[in-house]
Amino acid sequence: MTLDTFVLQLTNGLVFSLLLFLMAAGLSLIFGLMDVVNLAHGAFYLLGGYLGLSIVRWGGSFWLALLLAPLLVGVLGLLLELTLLRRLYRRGHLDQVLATFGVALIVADLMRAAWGAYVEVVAPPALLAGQVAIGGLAFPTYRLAVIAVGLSLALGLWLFVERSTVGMQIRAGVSDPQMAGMLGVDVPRLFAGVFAGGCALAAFSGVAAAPILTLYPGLDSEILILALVVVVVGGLGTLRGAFFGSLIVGMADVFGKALLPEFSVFAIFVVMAAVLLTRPAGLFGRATATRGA
Amino acid sequence: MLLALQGVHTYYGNSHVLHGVSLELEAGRTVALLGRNGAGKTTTISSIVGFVPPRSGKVLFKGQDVTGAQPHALARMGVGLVPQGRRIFPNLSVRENIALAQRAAGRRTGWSLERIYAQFPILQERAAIGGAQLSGGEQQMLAIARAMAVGPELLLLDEPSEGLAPLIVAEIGRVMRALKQEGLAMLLVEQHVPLALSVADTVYVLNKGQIVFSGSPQALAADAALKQQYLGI
Ligand SMILES: Nc1ncnc2c1ncn2[C@@H]1O[C@H](COP(=O)(O)OP(=O)(O)O)[C@@H](O)[C@H]1O
Ligand SMILES: [Mg+2]
Repeated sequence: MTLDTFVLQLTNGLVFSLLLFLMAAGLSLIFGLMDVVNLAHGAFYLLGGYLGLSIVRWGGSFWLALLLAPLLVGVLGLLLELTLLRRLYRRGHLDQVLATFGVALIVADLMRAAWGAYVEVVAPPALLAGQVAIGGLAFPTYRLAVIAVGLSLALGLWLFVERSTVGMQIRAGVSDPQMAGMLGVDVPRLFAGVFAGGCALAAFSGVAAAPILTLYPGLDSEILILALVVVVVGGLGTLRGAFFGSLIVGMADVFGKALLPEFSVFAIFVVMAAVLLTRPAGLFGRATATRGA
Repeated sequence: MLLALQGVHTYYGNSHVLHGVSLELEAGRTVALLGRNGAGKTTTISSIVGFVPPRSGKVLFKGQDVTGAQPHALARMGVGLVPQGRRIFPNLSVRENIALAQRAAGRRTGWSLERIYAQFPILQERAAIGGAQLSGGEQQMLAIARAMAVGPELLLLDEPSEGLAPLIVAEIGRVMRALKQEGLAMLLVEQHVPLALSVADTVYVLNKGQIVFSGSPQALAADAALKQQYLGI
């Protein structure tokens, strides 16, 4: 691998990592807060991408798609939380996994019915369609923009969780939802909000990724599996874990595919096994506090 | 009556833990709930605050049926909890643990930051430190401070002396007596019987999920057989 291709792959790795982060951040916070593994998270990512595709096709701009698709998917997530998931918190993990898996299958089938089984490509907005030359290398402008937006969103999310009042309530809820409730935090409302926000972020990632990764049936589960690996590697319920976990998994995926195409999936799981052997709770995971019933 | 439990039955899955617990607490009074390990004291508290909703029976607070209500609803009605094990948020600073309670309490007015720092000066020194780095005594002070920040009319304390050095236990005892002086109603779960009897107006003894004694601290102190059988002292 020459230095030039290395730098280009590094850029690709960063782009993919940040897209993964937007997926994994919601997944991880939802998991940490509600103890729910949302297996429909990948479906929401892909649904966001497809909705974006339709918005562009119906004459909307890419920017409108980037705004509207996450909004629609966020509302859908909110309805799902209020009608289905809310009933399952007091039940075991198996019920929750089955319910969200069921939702993932239904959404996947509906998407296949609505958008077909072809690979769909979304063009990046005209403004970002070209290339930028930096130090003799040509970088696709769109990818650089995704890096800039991804890093800004990561920073914004971090500030929100670490500095805002709602962020403080989320951190308290992640560590002990019952006690957060006893201090007056409306935990069910917090859950619903975080769930909807996480779904919207996944959809945003789906739209932003569409010009790079395209859209096709099955992409939902591919992305979901990678995001789950990120959450396991980074540790549950922390943004920092989701961020560094995404970097590790994203880079392993991109460089794995470039260097050992036959073994790229293998590379990710080797990384995951290595992290878990040294840090069973993930890079930034805490041993979870003992909870009451 | 500020708080009343009427024939409360509580289960963990299929395991039946509380067998018809009834108790009453008047405004401004302190009730001690005693009993051996595993008697069901914490489960009684959990049944009151909605952590583990009772399967039958009733919990009334200020005459309202709050059986199985959400914890935040009870907090906003004026129930504060100092839980067993303290349950300080390890990933929030001391200041944030307090701010969370002040913020979420809604329209109630509880202890101000000034009041908290005057009562527990050590918390001011440690304001920026993460909850996980506090000593046991400091955690207990923070647990009391943050419960008081919600502005409770009834404070539930579950083994506040557990695992603390005698000096700190004495300090916690002083704080509880001061709160009582101010007219706060308390339900105090304790293994430390002398501490409990020093503040309580009424004592209930719980055994295997049933109330086996209720009466004055003097009546309990005088009943050696009862103390031997249910408290092991
Ligand atoms: N989360 C739980 N799941 C199942 N059983 C529990 C749980 N918590 C407590 N128990 C059981 O309920 C009984 C009462 O426990 P608890 O209320 O904690 O007692 P105490 O606070 O008086 O020591 C015990 O037998 C205990 O093993
Ligand atoms: Mg107990």
